[in-house]
Amino acid sequence: MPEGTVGLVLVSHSRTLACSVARLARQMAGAEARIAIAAGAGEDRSDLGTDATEIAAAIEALDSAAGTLVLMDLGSAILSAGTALELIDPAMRERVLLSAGPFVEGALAAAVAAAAGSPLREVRDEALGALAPKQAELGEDVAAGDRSAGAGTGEAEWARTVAIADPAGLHLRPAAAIARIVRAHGASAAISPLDRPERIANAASLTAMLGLDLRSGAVVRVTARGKGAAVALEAIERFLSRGASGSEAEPEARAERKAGPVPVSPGIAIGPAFNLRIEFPKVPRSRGDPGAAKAALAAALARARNGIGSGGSAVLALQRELLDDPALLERALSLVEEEKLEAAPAWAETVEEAAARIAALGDPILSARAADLKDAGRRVLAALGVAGEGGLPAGMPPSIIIAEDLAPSLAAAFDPAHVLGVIDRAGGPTTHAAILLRARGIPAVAGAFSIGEVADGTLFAIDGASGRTWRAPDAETCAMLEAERAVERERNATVAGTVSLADGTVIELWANAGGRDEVVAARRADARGIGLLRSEFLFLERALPPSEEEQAQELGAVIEPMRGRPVILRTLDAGADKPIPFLPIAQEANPFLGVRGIRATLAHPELFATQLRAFLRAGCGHELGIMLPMVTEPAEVAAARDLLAAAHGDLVSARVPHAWPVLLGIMVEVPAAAWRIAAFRDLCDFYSIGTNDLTQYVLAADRGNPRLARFHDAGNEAVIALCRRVAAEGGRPTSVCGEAAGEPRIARSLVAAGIRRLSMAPALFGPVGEALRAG
Amino acid sequence: MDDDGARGRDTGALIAWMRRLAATIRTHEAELTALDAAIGDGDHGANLARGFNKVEQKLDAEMPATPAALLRLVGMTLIGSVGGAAGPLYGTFFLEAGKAAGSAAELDEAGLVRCLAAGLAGVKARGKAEPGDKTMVDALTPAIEALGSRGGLAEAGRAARAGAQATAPLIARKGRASYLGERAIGHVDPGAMSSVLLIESLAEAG
Repeated sequence: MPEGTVGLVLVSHSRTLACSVARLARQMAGAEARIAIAAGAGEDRSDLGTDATEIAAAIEALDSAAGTLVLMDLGSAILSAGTALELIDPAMRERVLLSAGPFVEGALAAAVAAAAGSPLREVRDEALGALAPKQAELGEDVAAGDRSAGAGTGEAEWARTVAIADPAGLHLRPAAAIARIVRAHGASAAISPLDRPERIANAASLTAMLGLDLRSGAVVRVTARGKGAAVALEAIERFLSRGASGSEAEPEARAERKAGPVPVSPGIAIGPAFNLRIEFPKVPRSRGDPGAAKAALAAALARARNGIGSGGSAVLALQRELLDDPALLERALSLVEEEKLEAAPAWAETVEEAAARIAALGDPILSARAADLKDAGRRVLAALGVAGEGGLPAGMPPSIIIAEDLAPSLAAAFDPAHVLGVIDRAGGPTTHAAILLRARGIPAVAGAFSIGEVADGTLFAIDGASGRTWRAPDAETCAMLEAERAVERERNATVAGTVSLADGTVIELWANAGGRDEVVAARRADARGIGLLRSEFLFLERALPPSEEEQAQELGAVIEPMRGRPVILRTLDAGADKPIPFLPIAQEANPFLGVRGIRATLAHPELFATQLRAFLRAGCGHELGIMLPMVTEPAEVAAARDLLAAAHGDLVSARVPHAWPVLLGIMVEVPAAAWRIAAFRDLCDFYSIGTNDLTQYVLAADRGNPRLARFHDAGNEAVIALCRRVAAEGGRPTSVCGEAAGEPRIARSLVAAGIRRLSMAPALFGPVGEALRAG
Repeated sequence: MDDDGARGRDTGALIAWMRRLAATIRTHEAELTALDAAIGDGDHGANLARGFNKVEQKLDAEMPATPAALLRLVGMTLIGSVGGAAGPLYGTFFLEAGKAAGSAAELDEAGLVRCLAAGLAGVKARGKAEPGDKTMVDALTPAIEALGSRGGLAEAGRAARAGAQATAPLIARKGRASYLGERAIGHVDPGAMSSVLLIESLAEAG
């Protein structure tokens, strides 16, 4: 926002309050609104109070010819602001006005007026008049209703005194439930111990409530304001006095336990267990532009939340709650503002502080939550491009890895020589991690909620085809599994890139790959081509987009082993569910239905054009196809085609060698595209059906939600019917590159539906070929 | 203490006052907080202790050259660290006192009275308070009057204490206590009590 707008200084006794008001104001006026806060007392500003020197510094920082308006909450804030005016340069003082407007409403109104370019006096008038709409709206109610409680504030405050009945005290689960109640009712509520009334925790903040360290029997005063205050208060009181904090979450947990492990990646593994631990990264305290840092932090939080998804275990649900904690965000934002820290160090410091505070309470139940907090925090850092020290220590013996919701970035780094198998306590067969494990031929089971604690080194066996696991299997079981494994190896050895069926139909087996190892495996397995090369490996864990040169080099090296056979490269398939650190994708309530795939790349045409040029260069000497993910309508393909032609033109003018002509095709994964497939014929050279997403869209079932497992089935007749339609009416070569192509049962249905090209992890060629030949 | 005020106070003597005051505030922190808890938000003792601890730290780290520099340092430190209303009020008291000290190397009795009176004027302007409003002004005003009429520091201390005690039956007109109306009656104002300590420690520091 230009220097020419009025700056706002928010002065409050409470840093939390000021940060929140600033956030509200920015939400209304735009992220670049010129707002500074001066709030809190004490070394870390966590005590209630104001500091005139801080106010003066804030005024100085915002000073411009347009002037500055100072809004204050109450009492000594006004004294301090007046004192601050005496501390600043007299010439600057001329451009500063103190506002008598209400703090919250005034700040919002002033921020909007300032952002609109209003002069200082008008901004002041807006702030002053900001209470009018609320007064007008509530005028009658206030007169008729009970206003006894809110002495002097005009807003009723409801209060209850409750003893905490839960034997474990106010621990994480009840705290999370209270935060949910408060947010759901749109109320603001606070909890404070009766014997320490000065310690007040925002009842929407998990960390604040945990910081009170309330044990069983402690008596607290709960206050609430806002429209849903009375109802929220009642719910909180019921909750606190009921005692059995676990009872509400219990049925859910039981349902999860019943679900048990599911097969994810076929194969048998026997070996010692190793618990995957992710260290909380050490982030250097780098400084930068606060505006950029705030935007990056907001985006990373959104991505982290989306990454956790809406389903999953109770542990993940708690992590989601932790990320929603306003106190964490406020502390991080204040570090950004105060210390000019960049997003990653500000967030890392915030999380470490909060975790240390919780751990220091000395309560074993809560101490474990410090680990949860760090784990949730780590996701945000990962979204900011800061990776935790990568999980597996050097010198780890070949092991079966036990993970808690394995991250794709970690799965991508697993070496089959060291990772014999994977047991994921969360996750499911269609997660990105699962796809990567299959591609590497690493046996895996997921959704193993019931596995319990496992000591490192415990002998485990898993059968990734059936989902069975054995803890400390006896010698006989091991021998049986070894024998099964030998049979499986035999079968895989007889792989071929084509399967001839009894009726003479030839089915082509293509390979899905996401890196050089998998391309080598594809070549060894005699794949007809690479049916899907995921280009995301070029972007993961990158803070900045790779250059065209870099992408071309890396991709060229990756596809080199397939020279002489067709290679289909997929353009960047990112979205709020598959975040790329440098691609700003706003938080979405529903990332699977959001800006992802081609929707995201068309929104960033420069990034897209760079990738297309890199693809063409890398494909030089190859039979190259380019595939667009998440296409919904023909216009998107037309736009991509124009960009592709322009990329070709650029490379021609620059005399850079590249592949041309190339094939252009689409992933068919949006039902609309499948349904209207004939409309794409003139724009496309091929289709590839992405059954994972197509299935979740057709059946309206989030593929990450283990409770909807019965809908995670590409063999569902509705999905197969759409595949049949694409093969019959599309008029172009059609493959299936979703995971369904590698499932023998579904592969048979796909072939019956007219699909002649199946693309899968090469490790699956054996079982699929066998199933197809067996008819 | 009979001859207090007879000789000039140099910067060192004023530093001794500040250290004495810091120690006194710490000793009386709980008492001040209890007074404030009765009619305010219960943080006066803690806030002032925090502020004067910070003053001590500053004085450990640097040695101001003149009384004016010392008073300004104390004022700025209190403004930046106390948190509550006492921050800007006592901060203003010392800042204004510092301005009145000018470039003098030491303050004789008249100079001291001039500085304290300037500080009091600053507090009254900043807080828009007058005697009888149940504030620190009620302790400082009689104390400085006593000093001005050559009553000596001991007499000033007694006057401050009497002034503070006299706030008990008053209705507060300023600050958080003013929300309480008649319920504030019967309680001594915590700000007036901390002002007593300010004057008494000046006497004790000699």
